[in-house]
Amino acid sequence: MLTLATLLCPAQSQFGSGAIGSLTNKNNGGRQSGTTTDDDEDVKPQPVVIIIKDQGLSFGFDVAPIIMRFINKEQTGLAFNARYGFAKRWWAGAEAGYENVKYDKQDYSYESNGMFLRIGADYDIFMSRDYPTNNNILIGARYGYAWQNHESSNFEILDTYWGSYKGSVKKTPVNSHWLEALFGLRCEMLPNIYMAWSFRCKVRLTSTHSDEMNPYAIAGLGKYDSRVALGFTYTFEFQIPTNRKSKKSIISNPDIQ
Amino acid sequence: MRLAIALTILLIGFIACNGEDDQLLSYQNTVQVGLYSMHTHNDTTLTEIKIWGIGREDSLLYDIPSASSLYMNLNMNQDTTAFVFCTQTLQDEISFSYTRSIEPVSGAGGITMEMNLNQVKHTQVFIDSVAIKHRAIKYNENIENIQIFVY
Repeated sequence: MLTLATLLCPAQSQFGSGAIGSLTNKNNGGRQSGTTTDDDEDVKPQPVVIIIKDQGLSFGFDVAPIIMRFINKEQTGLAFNARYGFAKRWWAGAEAGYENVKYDKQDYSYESNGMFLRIGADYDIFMSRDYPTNNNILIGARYGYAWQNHESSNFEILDTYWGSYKGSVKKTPVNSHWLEALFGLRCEMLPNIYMAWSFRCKVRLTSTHSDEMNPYAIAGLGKYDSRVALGFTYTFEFQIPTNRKSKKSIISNPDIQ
Repeated sequence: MRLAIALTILLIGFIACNGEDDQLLSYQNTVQVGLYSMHTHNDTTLTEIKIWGIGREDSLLYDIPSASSLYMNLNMNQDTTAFVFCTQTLQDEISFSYTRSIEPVSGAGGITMEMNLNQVKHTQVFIDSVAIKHRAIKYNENIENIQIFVY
């Protein structure tokens, strides 16, 4: 696990700034068990290791839709994310974005414009007392909702026997709900600047739209023709350094040192 | 080196998640028909087959010596399509009722029409019965939609 984190976060050894607090308890002299022996006075207090990571509020943007624009020129997207560490190892996460799909070919045209919102939580499974770092290996879940409009101003479906079908579909709304499971890495490249990626497996729950035309893609989810979709995010985040002060105060607290 | 490996993994991820679909081979929507013996319920072969659409008597859809399965184009401009089905000197009529919806398939492929079979009616000269096995008629899906049991 650490090897994977080190591989994908090459900067962590230079900039990682997670903390290990070496704390001892005055009441029991730092002993970790209640067993009493004659050699008690000779045993040096063992430090109680507490791993403290910065868990503030962070904001970021997803570069995956921008890179995708170069691969699929018909698809344009923009996505932002925010996360907040609300408990040890736990993060609340939210992502919002915009997606446009536009095809303008000789025998058909199609356009969809939509917004999406994903909310959920991540759990950090990466805690190493040997390698203090603010990096995270995250598993999590999201609930997603997208609302969009799509239309086809003209299309022609060819049939050599009965004759082609020509038509158009005016702008109609599409509302979709889905769930995601994610696995990702997040590492501190520079103090308070993080790079993160995540793989996501998404399952569409519902999608309400007119019977006339199915959407080509759901904003934030993926192509409509499959109920299960895979996704990827690649974000750069800035974390507001609100927790660094509290971390120092814990470590330097004379009552527990 | 680590950075290069990381970027390679990212690139593979992007390609894996966003590969384009294959090009459409055909825009036509066909109902896939299997021919079965009503006595044995095994697939069977009919000979001297001629099929044409009612309203398209000027054009044969099939004129072949024998077949055990058929692909019949449904009319995308209507909710019902009927055919005359001949084998040797015997002749039946078979009609399909369905609902239609437009389906964007892929950026490269375009738009196609999905159909959902509601009902199949037929006369009973050599056709004993018809079973709807798979109602949805979708692009690029190779599934037998109906079974025709013949005497």
